[in-house]
Amino acid sequence: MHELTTVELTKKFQKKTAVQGVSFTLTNGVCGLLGENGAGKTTLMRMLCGLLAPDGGQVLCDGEQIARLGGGYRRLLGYLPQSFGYYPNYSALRFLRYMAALKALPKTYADARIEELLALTGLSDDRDRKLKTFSGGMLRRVGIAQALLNDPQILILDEPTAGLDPKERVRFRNLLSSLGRNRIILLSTHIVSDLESIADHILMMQKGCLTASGSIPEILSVGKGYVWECRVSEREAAELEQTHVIANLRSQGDGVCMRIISREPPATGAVPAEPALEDAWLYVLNNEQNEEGGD
Amino acid sequence: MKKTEFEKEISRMFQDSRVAVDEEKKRQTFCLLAGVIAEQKLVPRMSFPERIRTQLYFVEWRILLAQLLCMLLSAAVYVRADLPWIQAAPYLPAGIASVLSGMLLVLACNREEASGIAELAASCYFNHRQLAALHMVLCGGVQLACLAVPAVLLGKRMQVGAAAMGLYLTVPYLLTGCVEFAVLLTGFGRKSNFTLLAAGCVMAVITGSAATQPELYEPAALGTWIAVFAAVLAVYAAELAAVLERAKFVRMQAAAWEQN
Repeated sequence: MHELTTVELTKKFQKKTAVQGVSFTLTNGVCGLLGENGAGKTTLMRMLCGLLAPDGGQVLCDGEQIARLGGGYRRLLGYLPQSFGYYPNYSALRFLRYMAALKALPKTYADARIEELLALTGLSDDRDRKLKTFSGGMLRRVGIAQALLNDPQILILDEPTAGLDPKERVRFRNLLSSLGRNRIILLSTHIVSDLESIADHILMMQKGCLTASGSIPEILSVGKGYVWECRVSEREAAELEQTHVIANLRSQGDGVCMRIISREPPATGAVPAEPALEDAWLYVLNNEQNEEGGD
Repeated sequence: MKKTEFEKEISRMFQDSRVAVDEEKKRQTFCLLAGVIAEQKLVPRMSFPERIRTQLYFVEWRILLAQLLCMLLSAAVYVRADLPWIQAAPYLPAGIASVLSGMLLVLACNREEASGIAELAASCYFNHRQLAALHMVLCGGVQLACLAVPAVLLGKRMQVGAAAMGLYLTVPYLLTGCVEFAVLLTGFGRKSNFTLLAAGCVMAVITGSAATQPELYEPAALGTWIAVFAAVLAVYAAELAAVLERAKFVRMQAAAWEQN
């Protein structure tokens, strides 16, 4: 079992601090990284992959700095970047063989592994088609397949479900869940529901900082007592939208059903609701914004 | 494998049910063993010769074919010794071929950046710098062989020694490389190959113009050629090092900055 640790990790670009003092430890299991656009998730993942040198702090694998481990660390690593580049004129099979060559996998092992992964990702029938003819979802599946080629012990996936349809997302979640038992998986996403059913641990980032960290029950307890459901008129709904964080809004008949994040009951007749991960996320986000506004 | 007496005794004990097996503990032990085996599972490594052979398979063959075409065309031109423009500017075809070769080498090495695969490649066992260097060595080796053909034909025609002919072809090759690397370092060429192609065409025009000046190829000018070669080689090496170093971090930083 491996352990991936960051210690006060910091990265700055010119005047902007993309990641500030982030510390956490990952062990076997699925860890979800939640954050808005520009929160620093991609920068953090790039530092974990050794693609960016941190300006402060360090990334340790089993107690050793990953920069010192070099190729030895990259042998353990599988990475799917958010912007997945590929050679358009390569077929899926040729591209996976190319990635296998980059990962220094012997041909016989690579061929067997590629067959396995093409079947796993449902691309066996499309293996000889050129990548430029693939849909976005199919390309994402090729990306997932290449990340798994070397049977990585540390899998880092940046927005892996982007472009996948619901059926593909379910298939992908099930795959990750089975893989997470004996390896470290870190995945970033905007789709909170992707994490709810498979993540063992959640990290929340905002403006480069880690704002919350814990198991899903621990994260949900953050939002406990702050989630309300109510049914109001359209006029009241419009007013509430201006003054509160709305998790969900649904027109029903002559009223509007709302799910609201608030410290106090937002409207007459509002009842407390069990928080979901998305509610906790909105609560943390709103809390941070209020603290900044207060400063 | 033949069982030892001890193993046979153990088997008999279990068959006789003298040792009761706790099913729950059996399941736990099995899970534990599976975990240990999974941890120790070793992905086989590739031998060094196999690494080189595999990378050869993925060299950009279109670029090498273009290189071969350059060589064949320039050789074909020299075989037709009676063409009037060849007699007027004999160094022109070989000069153009060496410029195009210099451009093709940089194109071959920039393909990962141009296709957007550089970030993914950098996270693999072979890092981007190692790959770029390996591709340069492989492509460069093929190019040297290809340029030797027009060099030999031209050398025989002009009664010029091998060393001088090497200078007349290597200087435009390296100079083109310097210009192409400069384009890469400024960022214009990194994402698209068209800027690199345009720079190559400009160099071909400049080299073509120089090739029509016979005084440049007189023996008296050899000293100048040697000095230019030394200077251009130093710049080429420095720019190559800068390109490979930039590939390591700065490009990633710039891309990350743009994204955030």
